[in-house]
This record gives sequence, structure tokens and C-alpha cells, in this order.
Amino acid sequence: MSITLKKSSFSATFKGIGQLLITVSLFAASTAHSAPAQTPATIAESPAWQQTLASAKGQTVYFNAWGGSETINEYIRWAAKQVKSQYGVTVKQVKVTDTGNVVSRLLAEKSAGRTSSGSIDLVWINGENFKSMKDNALLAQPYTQQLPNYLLVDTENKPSTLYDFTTAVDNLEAPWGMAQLVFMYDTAHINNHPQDMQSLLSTLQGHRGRFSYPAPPSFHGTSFIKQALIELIADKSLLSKPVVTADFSRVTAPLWAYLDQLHPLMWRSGRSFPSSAGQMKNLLNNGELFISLSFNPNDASNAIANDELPESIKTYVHSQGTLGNTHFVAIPFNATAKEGAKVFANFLMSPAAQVRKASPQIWGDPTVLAMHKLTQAQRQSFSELPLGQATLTTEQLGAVLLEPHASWVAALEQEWLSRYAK
Amino acid sequence: MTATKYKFILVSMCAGGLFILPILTGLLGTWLPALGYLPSIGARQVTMAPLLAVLSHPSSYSSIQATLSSALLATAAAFVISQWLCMQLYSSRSWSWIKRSIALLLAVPHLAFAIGFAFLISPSGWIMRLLSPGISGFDVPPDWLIINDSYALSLTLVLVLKEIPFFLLMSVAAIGSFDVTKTLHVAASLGYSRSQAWLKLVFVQMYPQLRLPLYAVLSYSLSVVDLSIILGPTAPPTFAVLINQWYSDANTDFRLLGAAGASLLLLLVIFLLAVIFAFEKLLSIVFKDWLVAGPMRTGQSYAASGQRVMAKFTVVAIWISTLLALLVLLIWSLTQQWRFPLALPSKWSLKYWQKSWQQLPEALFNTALVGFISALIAVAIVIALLHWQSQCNRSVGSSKLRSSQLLLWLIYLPMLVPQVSFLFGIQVLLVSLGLDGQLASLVWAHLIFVLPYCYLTLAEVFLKFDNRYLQQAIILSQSRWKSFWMIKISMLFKPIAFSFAISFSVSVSQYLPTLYVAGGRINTITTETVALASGGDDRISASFALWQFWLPLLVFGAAIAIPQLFFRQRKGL
Repeated sequence: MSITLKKSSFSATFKGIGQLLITVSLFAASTAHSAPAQTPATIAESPAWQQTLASAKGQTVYFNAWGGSETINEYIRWAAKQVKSQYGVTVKQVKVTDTGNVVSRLLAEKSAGRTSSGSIDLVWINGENFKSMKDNALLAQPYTQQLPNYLLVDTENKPSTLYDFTTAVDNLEAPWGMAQLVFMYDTAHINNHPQDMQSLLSTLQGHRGRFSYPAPPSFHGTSFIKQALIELIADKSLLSKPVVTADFSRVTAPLWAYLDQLHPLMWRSGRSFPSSAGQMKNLLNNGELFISLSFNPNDASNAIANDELPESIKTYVHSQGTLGNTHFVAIPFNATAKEGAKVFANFLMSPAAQVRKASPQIWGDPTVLAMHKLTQAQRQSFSELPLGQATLTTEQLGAVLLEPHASWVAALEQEWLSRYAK
Repeated sequence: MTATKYKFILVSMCAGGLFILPILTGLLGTWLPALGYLPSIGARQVTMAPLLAVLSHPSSYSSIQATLSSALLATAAAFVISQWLCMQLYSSRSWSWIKRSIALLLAVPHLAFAIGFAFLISPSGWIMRLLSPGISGFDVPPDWLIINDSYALSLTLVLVLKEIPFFLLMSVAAIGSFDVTKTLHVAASLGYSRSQAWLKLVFVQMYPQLRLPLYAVLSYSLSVVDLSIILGPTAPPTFAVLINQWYSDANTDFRLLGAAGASLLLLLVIFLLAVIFAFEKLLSIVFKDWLVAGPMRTGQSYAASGQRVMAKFTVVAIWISTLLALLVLLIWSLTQQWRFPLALPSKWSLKYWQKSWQQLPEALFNTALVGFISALIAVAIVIALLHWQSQCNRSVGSSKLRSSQLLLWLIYLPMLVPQVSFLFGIQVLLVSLGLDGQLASLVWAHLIFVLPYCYLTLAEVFLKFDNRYLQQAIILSQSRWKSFWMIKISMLFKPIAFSFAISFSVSVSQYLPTLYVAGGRINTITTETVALASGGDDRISASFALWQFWLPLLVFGAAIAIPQLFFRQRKGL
């Protein structure tokens, strides 16, 4: 009873934030463009955008993006081909292993006083890395308001397109895709999937060693810890506020008690952890794990389609909802091909690029666009997308939980390390 | 003092300026943030805080412990085993075969071998698949902590397997520098057993030439990143991996920790090298009497032959593990679907080869170009150095030792200093000079690491070369230049080609230097392999890892074939 009450107060808090965001954005929209209503077409035809297109022509955009997935790399190659033929912009993907390395390089360039002709034109980013870049003034001037297709983004119903892990986006990065934490499980071994953190524990009692998560500070590992905290903390309203050091150990005690119970039941008894979500998918395929996690609701379907996972894999989410966020592309302060980067970012948000990205056979990354802002034909192309064989419907995916305030991450990681990685 | 002496000093100083100065600058660029000075993130206060933060970080202690134990164990085991193999197998029928086959073992990059080896021994690996479910009874892989174990044993094992061939190569060179067969004959006639003679007479003479390779392997094992990610412990990882995590942490304050950790790692390396050096001195004092105590009677002929069989078995085991690792990589690269416990894939496909082939031309071209140029320059510099060094050795008596020892240390420095401890600083240096992301900078960065290996592989044959051939040629041809090319280079062409191949493969395997210096502008097969490996698709990792192996293999093949083709009619040389 008390749990339900608290849950509703928790979601009320976030709903409150959501409404606030909507109000703020409406207010901003009404003040900024009080004269004729802007549409993608009017921006696209404006002299400013035409000027951008003209300067972009012939530029080479070095797009620094995580390169661990061939599926995604292939999509980026397709997008690069499109902007080459449509706008004469060359896009080269720099495959990075960790976006933190990109931040390091920008720091080095900043240290050296290189304020222009930098080596990075566009970077795939979100969350803490975005916050770092924003805090250290490593980003170019706000730019997404200049992009025609930005008007199609569903900023009203997808608050994480405006607040990236609770950091205000401020038009500094263009939304690219949506993510929601989902679990993948092997129906060949598990009949009834867990519904929440507690039932994950009881499922593992029957299947010892068949679940794990990457060790924090790995992105997916930290996300799992945050999900567990949201489900287990007594007062969920604390999470939307900055972490209070004095109270930290008291309020997070249920989380550590839970992990102390979970780890002995995990893969390698919690003494070793997979290096990434990619490796976990691998372990799921090899039968070492029966349950894995992903931030792409279509991951399982896509992996089944290319024989990376068996057909017995299905997806589930926890009944109280799971963490959701948005990933973006940002232009660094010293980018060489700023116009080219804008043109490419705009293309990535176009209905054509977004529908292809959302297709489970291609990538399966959910769109950032608002259906009601699209034309009939565009809407149809989205609604005609096949639902992947292991993909949940929007209803089944259920509630999206917002990320805790950014300050929780460091505190949680530090505590996790001192408990489990000593 | 002769002109050659001056030339020698000049070249050494140039080499020093080109290679040592940047390293020192790079170290400085790491030490400043380690002391809290990194203005780009607003840190301007010189303080011990970052160092203290590293020491109080929850993961540091056990991370350093695992790093120390794996590096020391791997280095010691690889060294002892390689020396034992030399002692047992020298002058046996398999010796010449071993000498020739080292090249292939060395051509297998560490990263490719580690990926393949993990495919082999993990609980869902090929060996377990072959045994399941029939023999093992497992329908799903057992939950065994075989790789990524907390004691870093799997990492240690792979390091041992990869470093034995390197030590063997160095030992072969060292053995070649004096007449071991004669030494053993003399010792035998005085009543020494083979193992006594080897330890007291041969090993003692070899060791000075093995010292630096030993130090280099220790430093490498302490600071290796890519292998540790694949095989090392995960919670916490080894210290070098931890440092790398700090450097790439989303929270920029961790850059200070990364720099402090990298500086600590350097201190650790220096400390351990000093300990080993002291240990050497101690041993030489303790065993001074034993060394000259004469032969001891032991009836061990039976044991000796048993040991020889075991030695052969060890070499075969290294070979089999390498071949199996390559084979399982090949199978995975041709796989479409392969689930446990099937012994072979259920669906095969050429897709991943086609895919990688479509994407890789640029990376392969870059890899080949950088490898070729840096190997070529390295060989040229080393030949020049060695030629002058050999002439100096002849003309100047007493001071020769000191200058060549100094040169040796200078050349070896990049092998002894952990890469993470200066690459961050080098990146800042290159960026501020506007030299990052350029082919020339990348070649130069590779050259720093290629040069020592090139020197290592060529020094012995060059210094042993009898320059009287050259003098006769000069008298006959009246041309220094022509004689140098026609006689010295021709006579030494085989080892030069071999050294080129080693240099090339060292360049191919460079990951961190490429990452930091190329700035994403020049991708190589290794940067692509590591980037894709982070996604965890075995089929793609396998095909990329094999690409990383083909290129060095090709060059090694050429290094063996070309001299045979060109010098067939000059067998006498």
C-alpha cells in the first residue's frame, strides 16, 4: 500500500517536471517566434539555412561516434552517403571506444589554445559526457534551433530531449534517438520473466549465475544500479534532487542490501563482470547468461535478425517502468566543419533518416520525432514499420522513468566500487 | 677521436632529440595534471590531492596487487622457460627449426592471440564445446571463472605464451654472439654437465644482452591495456586499465586521477627495475664462488633426457595453442550462427569477411603505409648507428663501452617507460604544435616504439660482422659507398629483412600511440579492431583480428622469401 502511494507521488513529481518543461518550452516558443509560426519548410527556405547549406558544401565532417556495433556503423555509412549526394557533405565516422576519449582530445585541444580547426566536428553523446562538455565549455554555440527538422522533435512528450540526464540541453545538442532500459531473456531456459528487482532475485535462485551487469562506471552497469535504486529507495522524490552526502548511506541502504543478495546469485558469483552490454549479448547467445539488458528496445529483434541471438530471446521491462533517455549529436567549440555538422545533424533528425533508423532490420533505434508533427505519408511510414519479433509494443514498454539527478551517478559509482571492486 | 666517432655521437644525439625529448615532454605533460595542474578543466593549483585520491581510491590497492603479481609472474616465467628451452634444445635437431619458426609466432599480434585464446578456453569456448555435452555433460556452459579471474592468471598465461617467443628470439641473437658449441665442448671435456656448463658459462655471457629485453617485457606486462581488458580481472581491473578508465571517465576531474595514476605506474616500473637490477648484483655476488667452483658430479643423464623431451613438449604446446587460437578465430570469422554446445557453427557465412573487406581498404592502406615507412626509417637509422658503432668499437678501445651502453639505454627508453605515462602529454604537445593527426607525426610516434625492436634484432649480427670484408672491398672497388652496399648490406640482407618484418609488426600492433597521435584522422586496422571489439560481436572481432595478423604475416613471408630469391646464386654469403 505504502509502496503504491510512494510510487504515485514519485511519478507525480516527474509529471510535474514534465508539465513544467512543457510550459517552459511553450513559453519559449511563444516569446521567441511570436510572428508567423515557424515550420520546417520556412526555416529550410530561410536565407540563414541556405547560407549554411552553401558553406557546408564540400566540407568533411569528422563524426566521432562509438564504433562497437556494425549495425550502427552501417546505418551511419548509409546516412553519410545520403548527405554526400544530397548536400555535397562528406561524413567520416571516427569509431571511438569510449566517448570520454573524445572529451579528452577536446580538453587537449583546449589546453593547447586551439579555438578553431579542431579535429572533431560532431560527436555522438549524452548524459555525463554532455554535462562535462557543457561544464568545461567544450561545446559550440546553441544550434539546434537553426535546424529545420528540430521543429519535428517531440519535445513535449519526450522531456529527455530537453533535459539530458537532468542537464538542460539548451539547444547545444540535437536529439538523435530514444533509449529505454529493457531486459532480454532466453525463453528456452526461463518461462516466467522477472517483474521487478525482487523477482529477479527469486528467478536467479532457480538459475544461479545466469544474470550479470557490466561493472560501473560502465554506462549500462551504472544504469542498472540506478534502476535498482529507483525501485528500492523508500523516498523516490529524493532522486530528482541533488544527492545529499550526509543522507546518502541511509537512503541507499536498501540498494546495497539488495546487491549483497544479488551478487552471489550472479554470473561468476559477482566476482567478475562483463565488460559491456555488447559482451553480455554475446554471453546470452552462448548460453552463459539467460537474462541480459540493453538500452535499445529493438536490440533483441535486430540481433535475432542477424543471427547474433537465437529466436528464443524475448524482451521484458519491469512493471514499475524502466529508465529512459535520449542520445544526441553535439558540435564541439572548435569544430572545423560547423556548417557541415549542422547539415548532417539536421539530416539525422529528418523523417526519412529516423524511420530507417527505427526499422528493426536496420537498427531499431526509436525515433525522437512527434508523429502529430509529421505529414500523413511520413506518419504512415512509421506506422508501417514491422514490430520486431522480440520487441514490445509501446503499451508493453510501459512507463519511462526519468534519470535521477546527475549528482547521484558519482556517489553511486564510488560506493559501488568501494563495496564490490576493492 | 676519429670522424666516425663524431658522426656516431651526432647521430645518437639526433636520435635522442627526436625520440627522448618528446618522451620527456610527454612525461612533463602528465606530471603537471598529476600534481593538480590542468587549466583546461579549471585546475590550477599545485597539490598532492590527485595522488592521494589515487591512493585512497577503493580499487587502487587490489588493482595494483593484481598488476604486480601478473606482470612479475609472467615475466619471470617467460624468461625462465625461454632460457630453459635454450639450454635443453640448443644444438638439438629441433633448434634450427625453432629458430626459423619464432618468426611466425612473433607475427601473431598480442591482441589477435588474446581474442583467439579467449575463444578457446572460456567456459563457452571451443574446447568446452568440443567436450559438450558428450564428455562434460554440460548443456549450457558451466559458470566457471576461467578468464577475467581476480588473480589475473589467464592474463598471466597469455603473457607468458606471447613473451617466450620474444625471449627466444633475443636469446638466439645472444647465443650467436659467441661460440657456444665450443664453450660447451670445452666445459664437457672438463667434466661439466650440460646444465652446469650452460648456467655457469653460457647463460652468464648471454645475460648482459638479455637484460634490456627482460626489463622491456616487465614494463610492458605492467602497463598492457588491450590484453588486460580481454583477459584480465574486471572488478577491479589491472592498474593500467584503471588509469585508462580514469582518462576516459565522463567526469573530467578524473583526468587528474588518470595522470596521477600514470605517474605512479611509472614510479612502480622504475622501482621494480631497480629491484631487479639490485637482485642481479646480489646474485652475482652470492654465486661468485659457485661460478668458479668447477664441475660437480651428478648422475643426471636420465633426468636430462627427460627434460629435453619436456622442453620439446613445451615448444609444441606453444605452437599448438597459437595455431588453435588462429584456427578458432578463422572459424568464428566464417560463422553466421554458432551456439553452445555445438562443436562447429550451425550456419556459416562469408558475410563478415566481405563486410570487413569493404570497410577496411583505407585502414589497411594506412596500416601498411605507416608500418612500411616507420620500419624503413628504423632500419636505416639502426644500420647507420650500428655501422658507425662497429667502426668506433674497432678504433676506440676504452670509451667504446660507455658510449654504446648509453646509446643502448637511450634507444630502449621508450620500451621501458609505460605508454600511458607519457602519451597524454604527447597529445597536448602535438596539438599545441598543430602536428596531431598528420601522417608524419604518426610515423614518428610509431618509430619511437619500432626503433628499439629494430635495434634489438639487428645489433648482434651487425656488431659481429667482420669489417675486414669491407676493408678488402674498399681496397678492390675504391668506393666506400659501393662496398658498404655490395658487401655489408648484401651479406646481412637476411637479418635486415627479418628486422624490417619485426619492426613492421610492432608498428601494426600500436594502439594507444595511434589513438593519441592520429586524433581520429588516420585509422589503422588495430584502432578499428579495438573499436569493434568493444561491441562484442564475436564474428566481427574474429575477422578483424585476423586482418591484424595477415599484414605482418605477409611481410614476414616476404622477409623470408625475398632474400632467398635474390641471393640464391650467392649461397656462400
